[in-house]
Amino acid sequence: MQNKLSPFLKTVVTFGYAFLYLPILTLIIFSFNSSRQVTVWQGFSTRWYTALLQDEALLKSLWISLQVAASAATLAVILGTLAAISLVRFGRFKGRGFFGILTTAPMIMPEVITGLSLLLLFVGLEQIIGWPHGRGIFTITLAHTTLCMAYVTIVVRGRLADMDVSLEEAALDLGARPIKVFITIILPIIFPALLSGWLLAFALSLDDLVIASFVAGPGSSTLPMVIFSSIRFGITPQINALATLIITTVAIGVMVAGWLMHRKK
Amino acid sequence: MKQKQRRINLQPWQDSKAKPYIHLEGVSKEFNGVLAVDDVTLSIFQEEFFSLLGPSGCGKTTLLRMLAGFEMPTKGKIYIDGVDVTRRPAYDRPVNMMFQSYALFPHMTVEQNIAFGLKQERIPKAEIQERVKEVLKLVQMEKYGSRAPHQLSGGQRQRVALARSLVKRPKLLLLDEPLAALDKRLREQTQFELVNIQEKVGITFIMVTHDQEEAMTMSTRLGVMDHGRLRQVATPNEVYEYPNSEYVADFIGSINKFEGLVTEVDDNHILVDSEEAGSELYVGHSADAPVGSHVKVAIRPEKMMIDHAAPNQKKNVTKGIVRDIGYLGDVSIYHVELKSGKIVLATQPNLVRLAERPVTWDDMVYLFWRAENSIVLTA
Repeated sequence: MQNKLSPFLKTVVTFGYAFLYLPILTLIIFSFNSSRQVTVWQGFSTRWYTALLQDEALLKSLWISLQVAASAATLAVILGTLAAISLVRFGRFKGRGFFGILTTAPMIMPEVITGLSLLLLFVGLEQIIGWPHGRGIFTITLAHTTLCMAYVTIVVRGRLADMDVSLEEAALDLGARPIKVFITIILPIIFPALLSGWLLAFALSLDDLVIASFVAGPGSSTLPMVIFSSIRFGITPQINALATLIITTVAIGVMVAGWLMHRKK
Repeated sequence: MKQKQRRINLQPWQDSKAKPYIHLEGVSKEFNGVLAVDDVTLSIFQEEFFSLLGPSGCGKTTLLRMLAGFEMPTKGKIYIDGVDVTRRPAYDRPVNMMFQSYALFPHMTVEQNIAFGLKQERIPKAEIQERVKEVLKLVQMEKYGSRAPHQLSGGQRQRVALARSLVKRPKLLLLDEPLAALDKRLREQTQFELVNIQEKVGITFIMVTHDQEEAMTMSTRLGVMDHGRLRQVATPNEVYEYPNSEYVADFIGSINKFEGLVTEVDDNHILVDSEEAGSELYVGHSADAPVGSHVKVAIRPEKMMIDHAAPNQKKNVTKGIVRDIGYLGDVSIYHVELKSGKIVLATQPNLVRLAERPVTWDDMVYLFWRAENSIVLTA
């Protein structure tokens, strides 16, 4: 076996992973710290988890973030899949290249610009047609959908391009109408891409601070917004506790998704 | 070579009263200003095994896809069993197709794959089960019903794909290079199986292939295509022995050609003077070539006889020097250079062992052939 890493490579890898994961590990450890100080270890305690459960503002923002992330991810998967299908399967229609660039543009656009332009759009729309009424969860969801859709489009597009067109033709040939072909053949085959697209979109939305700050309204602060603003008054270990919970949930989610996809194969 | 009694009797194209089952009327297909299929008119009869043969890009696949309903002709009409299906979508035609990639649905078992087409017709469950079982038996895959496609070998997938396209009992089955993905040994064996199955189910088959051997072995008739046009439609035997053009003669097997000038024409022979052959060529049947016209006389290599001694005939004789011998085991191909510099191929069965072979390198030999075995190519 020539599988041994050279000492140099070993060092690099160790430092690399340490750099990535030590802070997270520290965060998890200090969430069980009994001290108020985030940097000084005093003893084991779960008091911050208890405090977290009583912090209504934080819990409310978490609930808002989860709601926004779930609906934005779902919308993004629907729209992104439609965009991917039209890009991959509808031949070289007029404006196809331009449409491709447009759908993926939000990905490379600075978030500040996306956020600002969306804010201007929402304000303008409200003045002209009276909708959307004010800014809040709904506008954040819309804004996140535009961002996430770009990622979903790319993921689904790749999967569709890999899929043998003759599978669809075979289904048509066997008497299935196009809608039926989509439901019984295309959807099941691209399902892994839809799932990973959804998870990616969910994570992106949950993580976003900049765009949400622009288009949020009163009473619709998302979790990242609340955490960010709390830094100004000093972080409490409560945030550590919350982060630990989120990391655990995400880790379990990823493992379950991986296991499900592996089992399907 | 598959010569069953029924097959010999099945020659409806010779019967002027026979009604074509599949009929293409002046079908053309244009892609971005390029004609992929150019004015094809073709009649195919019930229970035929018809092959479309040609090099890649000759339009054979496009023609097949128009029959399936995946492409709409730019011009012309397609009739199946007397019904105009030209504008009907693929899901509304009594036609099924077996794809080159087999296109088995990866997320379904073998049984589910085969049942898919029947489910679209809303056939009762019990009947679906029965028909799936029946067709699995036909392709000898009864034991594999619950397997997933990726658990099957290439040959098994091919059978499943065939079963799936047969189970709906279509009026016409299209096969797009059905054996291209199999290795040579399996391919030869499958050729006969496919023909047997076709005879058993009595469905009209149209196959696209670039493999002339495959087309010759399996088809009742074949159509040779080139640049979107049908060059010749005939039985394998006719296409081989009486190609109607240089293109067809060259495409199927190899052939020797001599240029020459027609000097005499009769009802049952043509005399051609050929400098290239260094002989007068006597062709034992007529052709559409007036005296004084330039034609090519063609002879298949296996129809050439080769000997040291001069034969007892004055016409259809030429001589040259053996430059090369291709030894293929059962036969040898002699490359003989004539005085004119032309290289002529002659194939001889190896009746004796290699060491005792009478004709060898650099020998001066006579090449001769019978008048009936040569043909005149005018196109």
